[in-house]
Amino acid sequence: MTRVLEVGLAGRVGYDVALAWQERLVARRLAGGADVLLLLEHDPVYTLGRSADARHLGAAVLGDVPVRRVGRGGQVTYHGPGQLIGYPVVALAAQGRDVHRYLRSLEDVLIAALRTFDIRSERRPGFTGVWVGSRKIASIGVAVRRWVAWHGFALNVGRDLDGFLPITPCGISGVAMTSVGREGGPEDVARVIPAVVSCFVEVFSYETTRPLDADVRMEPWPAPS
Amino acid sequence: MPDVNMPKLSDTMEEGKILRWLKKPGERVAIGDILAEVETDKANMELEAYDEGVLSEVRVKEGESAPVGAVIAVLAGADDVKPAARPASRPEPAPAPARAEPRPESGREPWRPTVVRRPEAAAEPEGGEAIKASPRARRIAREHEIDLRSLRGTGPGGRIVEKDVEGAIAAGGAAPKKEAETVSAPEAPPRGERRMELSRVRRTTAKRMSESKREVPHFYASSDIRMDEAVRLKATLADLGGEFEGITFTHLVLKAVGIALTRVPEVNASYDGDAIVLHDTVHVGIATAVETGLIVPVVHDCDRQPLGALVRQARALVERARAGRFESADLIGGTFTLSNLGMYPVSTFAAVINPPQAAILAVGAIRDVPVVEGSHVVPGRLMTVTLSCDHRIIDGVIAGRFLAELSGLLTRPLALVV
Repeated sequence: MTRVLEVGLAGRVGYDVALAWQERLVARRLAGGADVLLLLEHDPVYTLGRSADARHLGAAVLGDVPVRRVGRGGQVTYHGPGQLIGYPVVALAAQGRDVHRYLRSLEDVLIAALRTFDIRSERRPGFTGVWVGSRKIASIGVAVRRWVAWHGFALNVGRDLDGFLPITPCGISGVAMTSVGREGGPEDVARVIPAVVSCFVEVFSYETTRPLDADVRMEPWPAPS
Repeated sequence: MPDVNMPKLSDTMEEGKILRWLKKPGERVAIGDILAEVETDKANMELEAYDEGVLSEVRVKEGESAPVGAVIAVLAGADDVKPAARPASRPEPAPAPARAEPRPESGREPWRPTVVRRPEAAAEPEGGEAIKASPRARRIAREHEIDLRSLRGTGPGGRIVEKDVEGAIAAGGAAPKKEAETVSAPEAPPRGERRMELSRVRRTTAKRMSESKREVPHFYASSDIRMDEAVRLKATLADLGGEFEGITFTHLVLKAVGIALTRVPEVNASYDGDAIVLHDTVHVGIATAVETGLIVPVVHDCDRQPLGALVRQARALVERARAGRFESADLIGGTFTLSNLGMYPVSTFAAVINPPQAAILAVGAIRDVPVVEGSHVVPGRLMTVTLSCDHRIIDGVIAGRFLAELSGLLTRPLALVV
């Protein structure tokens, strides 16, 4: 059987809408549908993993940006424009049913994609995510339902990282965030997508890709400004 | 009885944390149902049931971890479930929780009425046949003026145990004693009146409040507190759910009071004749209306516990109280009391001190009012709180300092969550 990855480019999507799409894509995968890589940008939102410490939200609890408790692993983070969100909906049965290995593979995808922009990044043992030196460039947190993984990764692309200021990202105090743009790469989310998709296909050994064929509303990606 | 084990989600996984249980003990479970969410590293896994039956026992609590393969729950086969087969989930009340012991530093229990008791209350019946009751049951009965003769014991050989007395307290007191019956002697009441026998809880309240107003020289200090940010904070935390599910303004005020009491410890005190007793712990009672009257469940360590833990503790206590399932340990050890009528259109009121505590805080509703900011009038949200103080040990300056701390904490409430 050919291993197919369906790729959905969804543009800018509110957090709650994207969550509902993922639920449907997980149900579709459980019913025998294809693996999916959903790529999008979020409206500003702070999210906390199920066991995250709300104290890490800091002053964000008082702001206008919505806050959501979500069923992924990990601590507090920020999502907003200028960040590439990847929600892979992937059956881990084909990847050896090992959630830690899956987390490491997602890190491999982003490290490989960053290398195409001459950005040297790495993983840090014990701190899931992708790092450029001591600065964090991508966050990862997943959920698994009947061995289908969802949620995923957030790669900072634009130079504006002010959304992280009020919080303690990932529950690690003193962590500095960085982005593709700040490390000398492109500053537009749309220009990072091709590298991320091709590295995802390579790391997870898909044989072919096709556009997402599912009943989720798709909007054209905003043109790079 | 099939065991449910901590799943191995990865070759490198050594232990997993239970984030939450989606089934409760006693609930029926079908194959494929999600039992729990398990976390390892940055991945959450929904744990499915591979057997059917009834969840009879949860061995690893939410927030706790267990090694891969450990038994985290037990499923009982659908047939061997007896009505009583709900072990471990709700153990019998511990016979003697440490916190129920008298506070050594104050030399007497804060919640024991100091008025002279009618001697019959604790005496053996005159008829001669001894009542079989445990010492602890006797003590609780004495404190709540429950007549042991009116109770039926469920202990060995019909012995009256703590549980029986607590049941009677929860039910609003045992059958009235003889002299109480004469008080309510059935002279036909005048038309247009109804006579309602005082419940035990009500009777205790009546005595203690009279005693307080008679003995304790009260004075009152009020403060209008800007609640604009606290309103936003509460809305955000309520949206977040989880540990903050069911959060109310009472919980925010509780945390603020806890911190303010550590900053002005003179308010966290008791009058003890020739001494002021300053308490190291901050245990705040919440005045709670129940069917039988007013009781004051005590939330422990309001200064030290994070807000989420306080919300959980306070909700559990108040729920138990309203359901009449409170234990005597729930009601003792308080060092300060909070009374919130903010859910009613009450803008301000003054509460009666709960002896031997030094003060009580009365909290009114949050109102939309015009507020002067610089040279502008802007819409603002104000809450008026009134501190009633025992003037024997608290002076006006202390009350002022306490209200300044409390106002600062609620006006800029970030300190309540960080």
